[in-house]
Amino acid sequence: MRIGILAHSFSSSFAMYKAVSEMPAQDVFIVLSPSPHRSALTSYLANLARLVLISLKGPDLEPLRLVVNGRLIFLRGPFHDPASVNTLKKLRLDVGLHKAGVIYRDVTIAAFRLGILNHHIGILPSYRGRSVLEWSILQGDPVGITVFFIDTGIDTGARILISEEVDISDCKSVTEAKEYLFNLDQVFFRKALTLLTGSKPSFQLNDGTGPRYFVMSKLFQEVVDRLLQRME
Amino acid sequence: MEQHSLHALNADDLLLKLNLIAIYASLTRDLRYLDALNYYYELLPLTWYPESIHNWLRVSFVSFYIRALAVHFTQFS
Repeated sequence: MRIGILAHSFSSSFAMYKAVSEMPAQDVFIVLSPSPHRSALTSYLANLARLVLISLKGPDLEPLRLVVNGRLIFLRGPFHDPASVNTLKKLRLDVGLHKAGVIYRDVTIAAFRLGILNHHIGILPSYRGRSVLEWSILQGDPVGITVFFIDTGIDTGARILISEEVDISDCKSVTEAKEYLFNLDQVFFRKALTLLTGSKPSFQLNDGTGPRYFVMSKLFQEVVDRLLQRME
Repeated sequence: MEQHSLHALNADDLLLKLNLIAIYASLTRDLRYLDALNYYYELLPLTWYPESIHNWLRVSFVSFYIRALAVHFTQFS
């Protein structure tokens, strides 16, 4: 299976690359698009610096091998840019792994044979949008992770591959719980890829009927932190 | 409010919207409306004195907001 990790930063995508490329029969690429807040040149130089630092820190030759083998691709524009879409199509990728801070457009999603997977720190379809971990705790609902194929909406992609409750009772604060759930992305993406390479992957339906949540206020965040401390 | 400076906004328009959200927040069990009020209340600077034609909208907003908080607090407890 040909996999593309879509990101803005080399550091986060390289960690994912290491986790996924260990799996058998996977052909993994890193596709970096310039950060929305930086110019293409600044983004490129920043990522180049990260690559060198990671290589020296190890020392690890893997980042350099990625460049030599053409597995690290720098896009000059955003993922929906026609030139970027062409590059993605030429790579003939089966699945994309979402590690970038953007909402994808149809043309980008269509460049992947199966689509782009997202690791969402809430249970879909009940919890869409932002601060879903906090809202789940506040409303006494299960906390968990959903891996699903995204569409152009906010967490409305119809095909859910994994939806699993996660125990966060050891976490002392919402920040810690969030970090814990976000850091499970490698584990859950690997699970999802294993399911996809199986003979008949099955999907749950995300009917998109759940409400969309927004960034939570500081007042409610404090309430959630206290609720979490009581759960310990 | 998140994208523009407060001076660039029409204060009456903003206050009217906040009033309507506050009224609805006290009628529904959906906590997102109350939290929207919390969120925007936290975003407003304490020193905000809008150049409003209808200054009473500010007073009514605070009253409806307190009412919404009271309704949900009663439900919680």
